[in-house]
Amino acid sequence: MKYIVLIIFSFLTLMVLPTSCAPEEICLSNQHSVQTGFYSAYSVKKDTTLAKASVYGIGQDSLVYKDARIGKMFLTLSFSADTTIFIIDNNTLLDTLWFRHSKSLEFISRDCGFTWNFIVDSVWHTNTFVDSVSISYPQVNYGENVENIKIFLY
Amino acid sequence: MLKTSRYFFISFWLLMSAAVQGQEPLPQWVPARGITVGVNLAGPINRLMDDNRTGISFLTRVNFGEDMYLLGEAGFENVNFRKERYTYDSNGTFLRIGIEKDILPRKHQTNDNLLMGLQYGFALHEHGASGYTIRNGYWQDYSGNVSSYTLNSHWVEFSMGPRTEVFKNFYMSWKLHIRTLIATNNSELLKPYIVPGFGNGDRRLNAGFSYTLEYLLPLRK
Repeated sequence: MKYIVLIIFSFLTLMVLPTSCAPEEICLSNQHSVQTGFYSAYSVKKDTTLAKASVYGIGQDSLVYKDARIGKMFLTLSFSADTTIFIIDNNTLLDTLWFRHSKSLEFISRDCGFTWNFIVDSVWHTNTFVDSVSISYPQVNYGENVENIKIFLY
Repeated sequence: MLKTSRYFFISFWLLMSAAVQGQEPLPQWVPARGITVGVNLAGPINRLMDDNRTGISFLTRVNFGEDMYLLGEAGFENVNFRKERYTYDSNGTFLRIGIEKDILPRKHQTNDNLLMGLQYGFALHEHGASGYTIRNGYWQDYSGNVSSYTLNSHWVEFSMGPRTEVFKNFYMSWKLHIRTLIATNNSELLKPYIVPGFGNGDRRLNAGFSYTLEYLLPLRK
């Protein structure tokens, strides 16, 4: 009986010990971006790209994308405002996207600290070359890699 | 790694020496009985591996029955660090009580033991993040803080390991522990970095070790 207990305890310890001695967790960066994909307005199932586009946030000097061929965008949401605005410059044609969002604080882990998770409540846009937008997955959560917004182009 | 290897080597040597001694029955052997007082060096050893942690605990045990012990341990553990992502401070104390059974056969006629125990643990500690920063990457970063607050945790643990009398009435032992959290009143966002006496606050199941030095205050007959 004693030896059975010894064996069970040794087995349990070997199971638990590696998790207790686990190395420091790898923390993810750029987890506050809404993911958007471009689609043809004439065929819902067909994705499309912008051949040479630049994207920047209102009030920011730096560009998110510069003269790039873009099929999908990762647009970082603002922590301090409840609406984040981006302008898409598609070879001199301009469209503006407004993302209205709410956020909630989350403690990821003892190694990675805190993050903000977002919910995209609504999206507005101008209609130069953007036909419409739809929210496919409103949550922007740490560690998830899901397309949030579909942008349909003329 | 070298330190860990040395630790285990010494521990196994102690266990083996206990077994060798056990093969030579002592004349008129009487099992040692009494109250022991001791120190658990797990806290200082943890500090060697993680200098954010400071802690130590003291224990006592008393015989009851043929091969059973009542065990009590009290200690503290503080955690303080300043990382890029957040600054964290925790101060706390813990208490552990339980029973241990010597499962080494009596025929060895030594005061060495192989102890198997079941304990209940309780920790009371205060923790908070005096500052944290969330990096944005494009827009402005966010900085905030979580004020200190008090929380308590309860757990049960199983332990097993050898204990040997290295000098008369002076004992050394090491044990492995498996601890499982059964309750905590933490309803806040921040999770404890370390629950004093329990370990990693991110997990409900932890493995740990203890390394104790004890002195037996013998009971007179």
